[in-house]
Amino acid sequence: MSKDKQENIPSSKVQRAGRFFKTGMKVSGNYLKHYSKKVVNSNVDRKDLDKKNAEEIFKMLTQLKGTALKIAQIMSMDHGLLPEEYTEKFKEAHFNNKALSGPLIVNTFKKYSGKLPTELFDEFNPESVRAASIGQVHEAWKDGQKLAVKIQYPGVADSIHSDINMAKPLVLNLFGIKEKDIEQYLEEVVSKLVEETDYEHELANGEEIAKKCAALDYITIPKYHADLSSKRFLTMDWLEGQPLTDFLAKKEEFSQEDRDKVGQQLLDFVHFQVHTLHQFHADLHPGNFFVMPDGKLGVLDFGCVKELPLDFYNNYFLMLKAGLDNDVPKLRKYMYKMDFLRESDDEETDQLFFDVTLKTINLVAQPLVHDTFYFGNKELFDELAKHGTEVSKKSEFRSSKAIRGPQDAIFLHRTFFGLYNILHDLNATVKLDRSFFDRLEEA
Amino acid sequence: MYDKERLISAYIEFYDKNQRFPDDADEFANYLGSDAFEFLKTFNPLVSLKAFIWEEYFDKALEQCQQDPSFEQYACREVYLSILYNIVNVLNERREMNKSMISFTKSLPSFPKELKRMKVNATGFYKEMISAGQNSGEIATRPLVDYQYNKWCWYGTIFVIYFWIKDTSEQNEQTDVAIEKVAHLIFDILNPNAVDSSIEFFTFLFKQGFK
Repeated sequence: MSKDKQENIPSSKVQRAGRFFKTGMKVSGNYLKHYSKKVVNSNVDRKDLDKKNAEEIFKMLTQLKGTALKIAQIMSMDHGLLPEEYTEKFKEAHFNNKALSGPLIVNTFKKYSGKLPTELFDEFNPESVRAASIGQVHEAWKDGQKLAVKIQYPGVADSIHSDINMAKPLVLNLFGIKEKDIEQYLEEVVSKLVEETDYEHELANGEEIAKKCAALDYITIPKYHADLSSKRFLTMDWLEGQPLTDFLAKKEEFSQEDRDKVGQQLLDFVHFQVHTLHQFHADLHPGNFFVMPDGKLGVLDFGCVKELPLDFYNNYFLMLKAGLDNDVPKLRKYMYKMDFLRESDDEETDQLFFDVTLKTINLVAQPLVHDTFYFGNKELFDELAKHGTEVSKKSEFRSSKAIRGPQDAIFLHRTFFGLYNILHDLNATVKLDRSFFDRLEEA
Repeated sequence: MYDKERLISAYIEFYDKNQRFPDDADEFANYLGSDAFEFLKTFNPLVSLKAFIWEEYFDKALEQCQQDPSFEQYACREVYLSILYNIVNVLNERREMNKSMISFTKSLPSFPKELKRMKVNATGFYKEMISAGQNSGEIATRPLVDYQYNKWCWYGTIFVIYFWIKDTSEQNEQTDVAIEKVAHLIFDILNPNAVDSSIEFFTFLFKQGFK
């Protein structure tokens, strides 16, 4: 039997803690090595160090699967805001995973449906075809229809809280953030992660979004099968398309026109959800998208769907609009509403946060100034990275006053970072529809 | 006349009515309405009755394993995993009752007396399983040691039962993780590994006259 099949998920709290501790030790070890190297050779690049650390953290996170892998994914989204070495390594998290044992799969079916996989399906392939972040995907057939069955790793929901608590110090240290500053945001992240472990919830989300997106003729959302699904396994029609991860890996083989088309579909899909539905797929990594044989964009995994409160939505995008229009009084008004500026700030702090937020808006919303935008241009990403580094170097941004903004923005940012990254990888030129600005309602 | 099956169902019936098992044979005999002497001749002490129930659990788990068509094709590691999962499934059918039907002492590995009959069945089955695994090459043949393999599998089984009793996670998901861990630990040791290669290497050197 293959020893590859789960080299075991370390799941007791002590074991998991042990793993984090071990990695922490190695990370510090790498820093020591780096500095001792520096004494003898001052040309040693910080990149060298980041690469070693990324490898260690990556090893740890993939070994832990579940929440930890999710953290790896969220981190890998921040292309440009992280050293390149981290991003490259974390990207592997989307597909590099190990399989669960056959008896565990059978047991999951029995436990959650009272039936064996062979009773539920005409045929079931016990070998998984790919990994999902908190589970793995199998092929199955019923009544001549090929299906995709996603099965969750056991104990994921249970370990979310303890994983977050243990991953926190390590991750926060690495990125120079203080724990107390992000507690209000962690609640949002944890609640979404817990939601993602409930496949019945994902099924309901998927069906709802599919219904609302029925008019989008460029999108394919697979049909879900509630009678063949449960809290821990989820069955949907098999998408025959090419995973976007493969498409991106072989992007040179596709014409620029094809790449632009995929990019446009993705952008339009995100914009439609955010600006029309105010409810969006918030796990925008290439593993969740497929380029379909009929040219449509296949969308999977509605485990993490974020609903935007209307107040937040209007204020947030009105703030962006004011920023792009350079309308300072309005911008200030919305910055206060969005908690980027605070009444308690002294003049200097106020100016600092105003400048930084304005610059961020101008960078992040820059594509919206144009009718068409070329995302392959490295300038925007380089500037974003430079801006990120500059901000993180400022001592003011390392204080407890620094972490600002509404918690509702976390998944919106995550989604747009995901979108920009994919568009950048696609080297795509896309058309931007700014008409949503006219529909915003001022409070 | 009370036979084994009738006594077992009466014993469970007692639990259902009282949410506990009888404290002693007399209490159970009174409940049965027969005289204690006749009863005690067959089952003395009550722990034997529990042992019969646990013995049946192993057999039932094995039956459930065989309902899965892939069971026949499983390698030993998966057979063992499958048995452990099904033992837990059987235990979950009467969760509270089964938890109160076993008494672990604080220090493992002193094993509950209630499992003595189950042990005979389980170690017997594991012995056959290991022998098949050794024939296929999945499990290493190691003179002086390998006769103990079936006991290691039994200790793994006890660990899982012990873990299940303590497990408070939803749908016993942590027990599933525990099963994966214990089965892989045992089979990583039982599979031919670096130890076997080292022994073979040094035996070779010894035979060649290297010193």
